[in-house]
Parts: sequence; C-alpha cells; structure tokens
Amino acid sequence: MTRIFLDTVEKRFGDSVAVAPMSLDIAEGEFFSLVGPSGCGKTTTMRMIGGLETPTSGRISVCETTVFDAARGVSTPPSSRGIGMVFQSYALWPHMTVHQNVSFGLDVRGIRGSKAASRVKTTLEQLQIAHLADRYPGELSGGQQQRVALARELTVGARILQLDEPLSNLDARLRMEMRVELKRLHAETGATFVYVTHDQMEALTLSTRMAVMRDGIVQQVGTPREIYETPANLFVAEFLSLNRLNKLSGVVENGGVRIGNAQLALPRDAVLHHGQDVIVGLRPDELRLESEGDIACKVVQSFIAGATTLTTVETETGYTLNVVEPERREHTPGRQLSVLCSVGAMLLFNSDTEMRISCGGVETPASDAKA
Amino acid sequence: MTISLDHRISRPWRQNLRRPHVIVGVVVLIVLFALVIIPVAEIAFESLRLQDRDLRRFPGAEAGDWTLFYWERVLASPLSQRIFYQPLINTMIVTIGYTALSMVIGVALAWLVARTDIPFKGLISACVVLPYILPAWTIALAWTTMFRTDSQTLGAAGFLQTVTGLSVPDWVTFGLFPIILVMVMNYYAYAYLLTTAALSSMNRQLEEAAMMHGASLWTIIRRVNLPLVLPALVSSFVLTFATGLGAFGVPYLLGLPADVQVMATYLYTSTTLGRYGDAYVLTVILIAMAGVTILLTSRMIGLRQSFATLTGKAGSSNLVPLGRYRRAIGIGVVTLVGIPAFLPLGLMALQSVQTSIGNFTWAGFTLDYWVGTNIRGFDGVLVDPRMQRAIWNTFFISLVVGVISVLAAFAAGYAVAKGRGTRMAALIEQLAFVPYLVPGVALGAVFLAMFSGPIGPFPSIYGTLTLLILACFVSQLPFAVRAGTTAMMQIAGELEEAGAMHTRNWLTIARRLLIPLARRGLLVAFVLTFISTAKELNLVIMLVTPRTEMLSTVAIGFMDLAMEQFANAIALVLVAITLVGALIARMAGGAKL
Repeated sequence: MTRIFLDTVEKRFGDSVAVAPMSLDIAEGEFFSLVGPSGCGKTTTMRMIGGLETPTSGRISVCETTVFDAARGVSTPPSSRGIGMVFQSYALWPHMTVHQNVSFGLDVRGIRGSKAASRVKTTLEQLQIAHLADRYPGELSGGQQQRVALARELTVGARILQLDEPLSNLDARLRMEMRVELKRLHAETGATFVYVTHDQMEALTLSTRMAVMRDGIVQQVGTPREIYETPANLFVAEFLSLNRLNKLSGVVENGGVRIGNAQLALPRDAVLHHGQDVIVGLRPDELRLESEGDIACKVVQSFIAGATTLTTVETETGYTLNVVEPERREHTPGRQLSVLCSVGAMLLFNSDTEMRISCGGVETPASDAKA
Repeated sequence: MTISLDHRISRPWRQNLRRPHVIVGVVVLIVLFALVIIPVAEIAFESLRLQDRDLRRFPGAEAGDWTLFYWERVLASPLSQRIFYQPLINTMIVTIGYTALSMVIGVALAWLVARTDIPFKGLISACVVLPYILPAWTIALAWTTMFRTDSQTLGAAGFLQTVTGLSVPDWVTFGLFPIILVMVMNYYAYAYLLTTAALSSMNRQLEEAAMMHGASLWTIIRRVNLPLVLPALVSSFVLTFATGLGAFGVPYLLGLPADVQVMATYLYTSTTLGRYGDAYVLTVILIAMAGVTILLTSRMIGLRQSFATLTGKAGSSNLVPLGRYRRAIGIGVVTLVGIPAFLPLGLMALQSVQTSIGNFTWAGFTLDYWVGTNIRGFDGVLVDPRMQRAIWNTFFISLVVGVISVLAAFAAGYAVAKGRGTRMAALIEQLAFVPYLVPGVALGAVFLAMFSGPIGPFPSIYGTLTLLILACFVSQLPFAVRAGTTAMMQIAGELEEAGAMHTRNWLTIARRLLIPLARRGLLVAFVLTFISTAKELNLVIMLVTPRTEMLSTVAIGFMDLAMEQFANAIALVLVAITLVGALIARMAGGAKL
C-alpha cells in the first residue's frame, strides 16, 4: 500500500507558521494535488513528505511505515522513503548526460552494468526521449528536460512521485501536452502522484483529489468536482473560479436575496434568517445576458474570445459584473440588458466568516474545511 | 515512559547535528575561531603586556606583566610624533589620495569601455588588469629604475636621465607623490572591474527612458547611472581603501629613501628594531582603522543593497557614440593604460641584463644576473641554490595555500549557502571577513606574536613553511569563502536535494554532484589564492627566515643590498608565475561547463 498519511503535521520557521497542523490521507494510486497561491505552504508540505524539510511536530507515514515522528524522534532520510521528486527547476545535473542523470539513482543503489542500462533504456523509451540519452541537459528544450526529470525518478521504480509545479516553466502549448503526458504516465505506472501547483486549471483537470491551501491552512479536501461545486468558503470559490468570480453584498429578505434593488430567488432549503447580510458569488460562466432577467444592467464592453463571449456589465447599484457566455454573441456597449442567473450560478457566503452557506445543489459535508 | 521530555530537549539538537551542512559549518567555525579570532585577540593582549627586552626599564617586573607602557610610548611620548603621528598622517594622505585618484580613473575608464563605442576595448581591459596581477612593488621598482637620478641614494642614473639627460626633481622619484601614483597604477583595476560589471549589466532601458525625456548625457550619468552603480562604487572604495591602509611594498621602496614612513612600514621597522610592543600597538590601531572604515561603508551598502540586485537584460549595441574623435580617444586611452602595464616590465627586463645600475648600453649587457656565477657572492637567479629554494618555497607555499583555500571555499561555501539565513551561516561569513580588516603587515605581526613560541603541546612553528602557509591561508580566507559561497549558492539547493532523494550518503553527493558542479568556481578560487600568495609581500616580510625566504622577500632584500639587477630578475620570474596563473584562471573562467 503506497498510502501517505499525515497526522497533525506542522511546520514553523521561528515564529512564523508555514504549515498549520494538518492531517491528510492520500490513498494508493491517487493523483493528489496541493493547490493554493504562492506562500500557502503547499511546497513545504510536499518537502516534508519527501524528507527535505523537517516538520516541527506531527507524524508522517508512507506505505504503512512511519518515516517521521516528532514525538519519538524518528526521521527517515529522503532516500529511504521510496519517493521520487521532480523539482520545479527540474534540478538536472548539468555535468551529466541524460543517461548519467537517469542512471544515478540506480548507481548509488548499487545497480550497475547491463541491468541498469536496460532499465534506463526502458524508462527513456517510455518517456519518448531514448534518442537524447547522450545529450547534456543544457542541450535540451524545456519539455525534454521535464521528461528527463520524470525519467530520473521513475527509473528507480519510485511508487510515489512528487511533482513541484512541474509545468510552470513551460509555454502554454507544451503545458497542455505535458498535462496529457502526466495523466498517461499516472495511468501507466499506477504510481501515487503528489502534485503541487498554483494553477487551478491544472489541479482541476489532473487530480483525483486535491487539497486547497491558504496561509499554511488546508481550506478544503475533496475531488475536483466536489470542491468546484461546493467550495467551503469564499477563498476556495474565488481561487478555483476560472473566470474572476463576481462578488456582491446582499441581504436576505422575503425568502430571497436582495442585491441593491434586484431580488434573487433562494433555494427552499437554505438555512437563512431575515435581515442576514451575505456575500453573493456569481459564477461568470453560468450567467447569461437577456432582455428579461434577474439583475438589470448596462453593457460596458463585450469581446468575442474564440468560441466564447466575455462581457463586462454595470448594474444599477454600481457593481461591475463579468459574464462569460459559451457562444459568440457580441453585445453593443451601452445597451440595457438583464443578467439571468441559473441555479448553479449563485454561491452564498456568510459575510462575517466567509464560509459558504449551503443551499441546494450537490451537497457534501464540508468537514475538512478549516482544519 | 517518562522520557518524552528528554526527547523534546535533545531531539532538535541531534537532528541538526546529523545534517551535513551543520557538521561542516561547525568544523569551519572551529577553524575560523582558532586561526582568526584567537590570533587577533592575542595581539590585543600582547600590546598590553611587558615584553622581554624592555625588562631592564622596569626593575623587578616580569615579562608578561600588564602595562600601558607601549600605548603611552606610541600615543603620548616624545617619540610619538615619529612612531605614530607622522606615519599616520602619511598613511592617510597616501590612502585618501590614491583611493580618490583610482576611483576617478577606474570609473571613467569603466564608463568608456562599457558604455561608449570606444575602439580597442579588449586591449584596454587587458592593460588595466595587467598591473593589478603584478606584485605591487614591481612597479615601484620600475619607477625607481625610470626616474632615479645620479644625485640620489645610489648615485646611479635612471633610464630617463641616461637616455634624455633630464633629471627630475627628487620628489618625483621618492616620497608621497610617487607612492600615490604607483599605487594608483596598481589598484585602479578594482574600481574599473567592479563598475564595468555593474555598468554593463545595468538595464539600458533606464538610460533610454531618461533620453526620451530629453535628459542630457551628463544628466543621465549623474541621475541614472551613478546611483545605480553606487553599490559597485562602494565595494571598490572599500577594497581600494583597505589595500591602501596596509600597503607596504610600495612605500618601502619609494618612501624610505625620502624618509617617508607610513604605518605599515613603521610597523615593520619596529619589529626589525625589536620593539615588538610598539608593533603590536600599531597593529591594533591599524586593524581598528580598517575595521571602522569598512564597517561604516558596509553599513552604507547594506542600506542600499536593494540596488545591487537590479539586473536587466544585457545591453544591446546601443552605445554612446564618441563621434569623430572616437579613434583619437581610443588611442589616447590605450597609451594611458598601456604605459603602466608594459613599460615597467620592459624596464625590469632591461635593468636585469645590465652590468651596473643605470647603465643602459650595449656595452653593459650581461646575462650574469640570470645565469652567471659569483656576483658579489651570489649566482644568477636561475642557478643560485638559494634562489631556487626561494622559487620552490614560493611555488610550494602558494600551491598548498591554494589547495587548502579550495577546501575552505567548498566547506564554508557549502555551510553558508545551505544554511542561508541561519545564525551559523552569518557567523561564518563575518568571521571569514575579519582577516580582510587586518592589513597584511599587521596580520604578519599577529602571527609573529602568536607562533614565536610553542603553543600547548605543539612545538613552535616559527621559521617553518607551515607558519607562512597558515598566515597566507588566513589572509586569503575572505576571498576563498566569498568565491566558495558564490559557487555553492547555485548548487546547494534543488540540485543537491535531487541527489538526496537517491542516497543518504552525503559524501557520495559531495563527490558525484557538489564538487563536479562547483569545479569551475573552485578552480577560480584556487588560482586566485595561488596568485595572490605567490606575490604576497606585506604579510610574509614579517615572517620569513633565511630558510623560508620567498621570491618577493628575496627581491626586497636585494634592493636593500643595492643589487637591483637581481631584484628585477626575480620580479620577472614572479611576474611569469602570476601571469601563468592568471591565464589558467582566464581559461577556467571561460571554459564551458
């Protein structure tokens, strides 16, 4: 079982908390992402699992073996944890050829000669870089370096692979390609992937499960779909929103939410009381602009971007809203229209705690929220 | 179990002690403490204790008794004027004068090369760097060969007088004026090299933005360039100034004949007179002066450090055009920098093949000083066994110092780079910087005081090559640690961690990854420390004994014996050694990784 288990693991640097006590359970074969803005502690978490950073307290076990336990003074060195690590910079050794880089792990484990050579060859072929074996890292493109870094960890048979923002140094097209490639490798090797990224799109498309972090605190753990549909709080909702989430302040009145002079209907089961202040999040890609709708508005500007239309409108109470419609329909600036909200478009948040108020839709217990 | 408390206390310690950079760091700190802190503290103590040879002045006192006698004698006695105040004034005149001139010339040249379309850039750079590679006193030697007149000390004419019949006034040959000029020739390379790097890595768009607003060239230099190169200016000021305070060779050759003493030469004089107490007091004062100046300036750098990180894309070919005077300016500058670069070498070569000093004719040609036998008791430089021993000593000492400097560079660089931000890393950097505050002659005095007798179980190392090696190593520490830190900064990160994912054996990681990756930086550290040890004079003049002579001290010795041909020949041998070293450094620096 290549299960990774973190039990109230905490990391402090002096007085500052890099990672607040967190518990995670990553199952065998998962593609688990740690996401969040820079400085949220995601890389530190990964480095603690890998043994490159020593937690201040807590316990970590990998494959049912305790590799770190602050209370008992256990700390296994990185090389004994059976974890492969792909660094953000790839960390290819510039003085070694691709073949030497990839065979290093075997060599220091005492595997040499033809056995090593054939294993290196297999891995290089798997990653389609066999023809580059004698090149130096400096002579490779970014995408090729990326593959070498993956090969170096895979060739020693690591069953757990940790990747630190592996696609951040690649251009947009290559990033798409490597995303597909990573998904393929994950399926092919059956290894457990731990993936660090600040790109919500990457996390949403690649992960089987993910944890969203902020300021060293895990905000929510779940499948990409769960987290996207039922974010635990405003931060998660905003962070995962592919287009900037529209934020408005509203008041609960007469079984609905009043935003300025517009009144939006509430799902029946929402637990709210009259007069309560709420933050209303409207997903731009689930709004439509029609002549008859929920919130009256005026078009400020409208662009067609490929297959979609991006429109900025201004409501009568002065809010600027983004609307992303999945077809080409340019709106003339200055035109009076109305924003139509679908059921899935609206998210409600407590205006004090910024926690989401559950109201209909796909419901999951937000138990992991706010560790 | 009730040992949990025990764990909580001991665990962080034990874990830290397992980390390689902590282990390496502790070893480095111990070495630094033994070789830097203890000796410097020792000399401060020694300046307050009664020395053997002054016992007769204090009946009943014992050597080692606490006394303020030496401080009083240096600072407030009828002798003070000669021992301290006059040398102090001279030191300040020389240091300030030569620092100011070096900065002006160095920065102006740097701007011309980095920012204008002046021709012959490569040649100009080479000419600036060449005298900087040479031992400082060799140019002083060439200066006397050039300007000496037959009315002076040796009664022999210099090259200028022989050829043209002109005799320059005495103050041109000896005294403060030539000391300042010769030191400028040697060290304006500091300002040039540092500001060239800053100017050429500066973002050109900043200048262009100012240009678009209609700023004149002068305004751009003053308002844009100058503030941005300020960190480089301050660094070169610190280097130049500190070198000036401790300069010995040039004032020794050009000052003493005119009875001009600076602190460094007087410090040396005190030890040759056996007045060790005075020497220790002067050492403490000299260290304090260098320390205060450098700390004040580095505080200024600290405040402005944010500028230093500014880098932009390397400038395109958009250089300031010099117009139709371009060629003329180029030729003028090449001449200006070429003369101090090549003329001294030529003069030295010429003088080394003349039967008598000041006789520059074909009739006087001789190779005796190179390969002859028994010239006033000495054989030619290339055949005399004593000379060969000096060559061997110089080579051996430099080699060993180079090798241990590389070890220190690697170890300290690793501990600093890996422990970035920790107190240990900061402490290593600060301690390694201390020898930089100690002028060479003063450091020599420190080691003289420290190692003239046995220390604990160790026998005295006075008079051995070990003492010279130790002292030279300490004087090279700041450079070695700096070079090592730079080299290791890029490596001791993910590249090392990628190795740690595969093996727990740090020695394997060091051998297979760290050392090969840092090899270029380490080679540069080796060559730099090798060269500066080979040409070292200030420090070793205090410590050599007849058996441990080095080339530079032998040459100075021949100057004292008025056998300049030997001095010149030895200088050339030394120049050859340093040039070969510099070429290797250049090749290493340009080699592809």
